[in-house]
Amino acid sequence: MQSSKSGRRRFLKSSAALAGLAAAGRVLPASGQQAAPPAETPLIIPNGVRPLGERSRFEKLVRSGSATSATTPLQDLHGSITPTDLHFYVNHEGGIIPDFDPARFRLLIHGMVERPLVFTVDELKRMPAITRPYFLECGSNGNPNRAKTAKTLEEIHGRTSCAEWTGVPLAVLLKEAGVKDGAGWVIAGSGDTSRHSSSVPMEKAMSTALVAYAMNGEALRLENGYPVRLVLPGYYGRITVKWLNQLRVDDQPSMSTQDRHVHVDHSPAGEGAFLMTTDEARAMQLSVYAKSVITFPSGGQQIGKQGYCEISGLAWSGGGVVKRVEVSTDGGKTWEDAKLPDAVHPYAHTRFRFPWTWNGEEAVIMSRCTDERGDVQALASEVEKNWGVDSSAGCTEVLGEDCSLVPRRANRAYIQPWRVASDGTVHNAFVMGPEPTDLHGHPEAEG
Amino acid sequence: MRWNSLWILLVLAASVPAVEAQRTYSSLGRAATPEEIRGATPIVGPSGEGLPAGRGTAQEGSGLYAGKCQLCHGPSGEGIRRLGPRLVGGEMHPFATTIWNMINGSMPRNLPHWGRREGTLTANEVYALTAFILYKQEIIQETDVIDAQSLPRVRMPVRDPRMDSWAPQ
Repeated sequence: MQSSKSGRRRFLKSSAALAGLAAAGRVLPASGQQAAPPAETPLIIPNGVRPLGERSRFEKLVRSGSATSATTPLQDLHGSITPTDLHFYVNHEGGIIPDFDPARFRLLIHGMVERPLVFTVDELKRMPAITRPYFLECGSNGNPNRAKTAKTLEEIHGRTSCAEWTGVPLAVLLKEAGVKDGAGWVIAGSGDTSRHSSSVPMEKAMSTALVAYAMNGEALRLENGYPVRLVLPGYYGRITVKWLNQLRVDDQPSMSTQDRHVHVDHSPAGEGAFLMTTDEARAMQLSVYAKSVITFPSGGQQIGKQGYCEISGLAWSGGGVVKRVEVSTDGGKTWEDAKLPDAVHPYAHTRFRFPWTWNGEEAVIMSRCTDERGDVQALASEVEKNWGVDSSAGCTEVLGEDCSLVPRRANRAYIQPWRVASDGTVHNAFVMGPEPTDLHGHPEAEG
Repeated sequence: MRWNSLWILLVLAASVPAVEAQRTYSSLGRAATPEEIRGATPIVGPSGEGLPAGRGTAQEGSGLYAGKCQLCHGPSGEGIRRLGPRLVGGEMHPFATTIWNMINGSMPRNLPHWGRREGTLTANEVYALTAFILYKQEIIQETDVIDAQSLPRVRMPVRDPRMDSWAPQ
């Protein structure tokens, strides 16, 4: 009950019977006889300040994956913010991270601007800033090829995280530079080892795009693009360039490596069938569709016993705000609204909760998100909801094939069903639908 | 004499562009120098703007490919699983400049740490390798010269006509 001088000595209750007593020691019952000695709790006694918070040895949260790609253990997290050191990363350059000295790092803004400018990191930090929670998601997240065989939520959907980002709105920087008439795109360049770049539509650049230098209150982590990166709320991760050192204003997209998949899409007609759909559809393809996953109970976990079991999960959308999350516990036959008990932010992971009583029988549970655009998450097998028709497609003339089916849902925002077995174990119940062949063929593509 | 000097000073002062005056936060960031702009990594779009001087043909690229590219992408660009994707016969890009961007920006890889670009190709070599891939894809002839003028004009077989305005015709 008393503290040591430094206030750091930690006393832990030795057993439940000592609840209410702060001192670890022996309790004398009223009779005066000594109780059996309680098990001693190990103590951690520091020598001085503990400069960085440390997880209990009983908490074993880590990322999984490889040098190229690490997933967040979403199924083990609470709330909606991802702890900074568990934020996912994907690094197509073999995981190699440039170790920039922030004092020497420069961000160049040039191209179709009145005033090409160079900023240091310090100067960026002193520009007007905002702080917002935004998710990031890799375009390969939820890939059906992985979903077919993987077991856990993290394996299938772990390439998404949500941090609170601080930075300068890109619009503020572009106004400083003075965008010239006719410019419609911002080409973002990275200082990474392969000079990755992406093209950002001007409308996005001038609205919610953020040149970020902090995540969850402190500087970006190395894996997430230290010292400066682009955050494009709701857009796929590959467009949100890390180690951002160049912004070139242009009147066309650059169609560079990762870029080429951003602006064109693959019809089921076959390899080589590139389509550029309507402007609105193109903008849609850049952003993540309405998506949700149940984090508990999810694949690989165990429901202890029958009875009350709150289903919990995360929902998000590149369309902005999550309007509604529904849960089914009978394999999709009936749906009920889940609660969104916490603050709902646009372009951020949103926690949902659904009261459920498990009766001990096998059940297939799943969640379905509706976003503010009215986009509704669908099962991978619901092909008709995942493909639309673009009657203006020029593909048929170019290739002479029937390209009338245009992917309306080009990403992997499919509903994720989980099967609860009668022994309480939870299993992946994903069922594959038709899917175009993988475009990437990248050596490190894990599906 | 004094008035002449003053007049000259006023004229000079008025002719200096008021660059900083139009900015809101003019004490933060500074004007980029021409060297800094020239030194920025080229990210070339379909228009071809920013392509450097140089030229190459598929014939010239063939030996280069065998020496630097084949070990990851295969002798005919068919790709080697887990090493390098297919370059020939698979998906096509709507613009040939994309191929140039890919090679110039990130190829070849510095084995065994393949995440790193070697940075050894000259401008001519990048054009030659681009030409070689276009030739293997049966889009150009083996002796066609690929340079800053001809590359953006290469007509790729898969392209939505709505993208045509981005490239010179």
